[in-house]
Amino acid sequence: MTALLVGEAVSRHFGGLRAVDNVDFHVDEAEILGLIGPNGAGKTTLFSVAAGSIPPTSGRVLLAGSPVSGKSAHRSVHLGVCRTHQIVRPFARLTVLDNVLVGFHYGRPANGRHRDPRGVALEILEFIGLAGDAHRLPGELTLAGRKRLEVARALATGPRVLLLDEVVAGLNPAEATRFVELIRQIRERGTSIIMIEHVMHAVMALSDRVIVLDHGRKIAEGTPAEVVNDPLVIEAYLGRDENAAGEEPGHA
Amino acid sequence: MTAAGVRGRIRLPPWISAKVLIGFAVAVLALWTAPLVLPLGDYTHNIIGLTFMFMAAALAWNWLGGFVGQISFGHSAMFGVGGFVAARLMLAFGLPTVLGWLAGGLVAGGYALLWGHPTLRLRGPYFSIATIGVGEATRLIATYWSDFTGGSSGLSLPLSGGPTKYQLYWYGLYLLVAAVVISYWLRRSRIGLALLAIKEDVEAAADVGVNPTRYQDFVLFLSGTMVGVCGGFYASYQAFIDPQDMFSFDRSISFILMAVIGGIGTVLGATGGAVVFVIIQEFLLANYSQLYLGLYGILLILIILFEPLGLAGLLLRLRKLTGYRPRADVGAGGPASTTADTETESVAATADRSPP
Repeated sequence: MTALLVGEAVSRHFGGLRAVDNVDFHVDEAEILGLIGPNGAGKTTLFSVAAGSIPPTSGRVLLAGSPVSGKSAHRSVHLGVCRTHQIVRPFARLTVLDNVLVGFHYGRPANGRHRDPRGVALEILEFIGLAGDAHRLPGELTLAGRKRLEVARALATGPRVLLLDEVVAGLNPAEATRFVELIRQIRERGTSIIMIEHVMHAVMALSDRVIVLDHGRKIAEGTPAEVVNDPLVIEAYLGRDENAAGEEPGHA
Repeated sequence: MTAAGVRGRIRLPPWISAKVLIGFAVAVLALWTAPLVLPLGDYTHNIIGLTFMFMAAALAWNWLGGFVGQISFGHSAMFGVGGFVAARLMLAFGLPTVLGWLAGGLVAGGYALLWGHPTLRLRGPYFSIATIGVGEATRLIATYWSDFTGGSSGLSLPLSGGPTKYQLYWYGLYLLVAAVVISYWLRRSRIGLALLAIKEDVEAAADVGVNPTRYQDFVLFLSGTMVGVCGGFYASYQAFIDPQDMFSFDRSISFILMAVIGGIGTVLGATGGAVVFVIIQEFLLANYSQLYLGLYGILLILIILFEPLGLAGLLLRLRKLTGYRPRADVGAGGPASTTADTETESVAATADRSPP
């Protein structure tokens, strides 16, 4: 499997705060990479760097060997990397269909050539399950619907790598199961995915590999099963039991 | 987005519907022939010609202010640059009127890009504040650059050689036609989607591939050029221009008033605002000069409180009374909201305007 999106020693500092600290990552063709870690670990910041919204302080991100970091968000989309947002940001006064059309018209050029915009947009809405809501406003949809719209709009840009930021969080179990299946189908269609997720069953079910961030650093990488049993990962989420090693209790 | 269709053997671009095209052609024809069949006095006829120009200028302001959502308080800068460049070229080189206007317009458009390209990075009120500075700075430069602008004495244009004030009616109509076509194109084509996306949420737009700088620059150039051409028209109409009038803050405000009263962000609402503006200026100013500012104030308050889409919004309500059901995104023309307000606003909008 060839690596499609590669991050080399990516760092992003905000003044003294090292939000992302020397992280290497890669996702292969048609692979799903899980990105997990406690809150504040730097996952969304890593996404922002990978998607080109903010430049790295050092290091770089490559798509099929060409640099994509440090340019601009829209350039990254044209090259084939598209991200969704943790808190959905639909174009509130455009219809669902028009939201998707924006992604189609302004996404990756190779994706849009010689295709009927409306047809493609409706097909994406069909795939995502929003076909009946095409002429509604995003405000009329449920949260699950708006999350689907966020993904549909990103899909319309024709990405080679899709960065999903906590799309399953906040959904009820039935919706979450449906969404997991949707993500699987997106991968089957050939798109690589990196997904930030806190909902563990989604990460376990979907990811081929997982990397774990804590305080900006990568502390583990491997299959879901490996990572979940890694003591460093457990410590990052749950802390360390000072008493277990017979040391003095004093701090958590 | 209207679907592309083959109408007979003529394929129209997807953003034009046959109904709109026919309606538009009829309206233009009616306006073109009106002076020939209606007994309008010279004064009224000329005022209507001037109104056409104001309509074009207001529509052009609305491209930046309403479609993209960046409110400019400095558009008089382009109006003045266009007017003075046109006037100078006509005086110095005897350039034909329309060419002079076009040259003035393009210089004005270029000037708009000069200050606008870096400034458009600012959002909302910060951009607007910057434009106040631009407008005033331009006025001061123009006033002191008396070699070019004639300073406080202004420039007089030759009365012979160009179109008469009477003929300017039709020139104004052509300006208006151009502005209407561009307005329609900017809203209904795929570029319209980009502009609306930028207006709604510029960062999210960039995150799906829209290049905000390119489209904002483009609209600014277009808007500046059209307003510059209108400045040239005004110079020819008055046969005299001076910096205090052309570059005044009042003039910048007038463009905003026209667009807001008519319907900011709607496709053609600004034309209604221009009519209101001319009526107030020409027919009320002379008799009730103390009141006209107060009148504007009251109008703006009423609009903000009750109908943010101005006259166009009122028209929409009337149409809804007769059973017309607008598309869900009819609110997209309205004033931009912050992301934080997005959920409440769109829900409120749909409560008002949801399709059956």
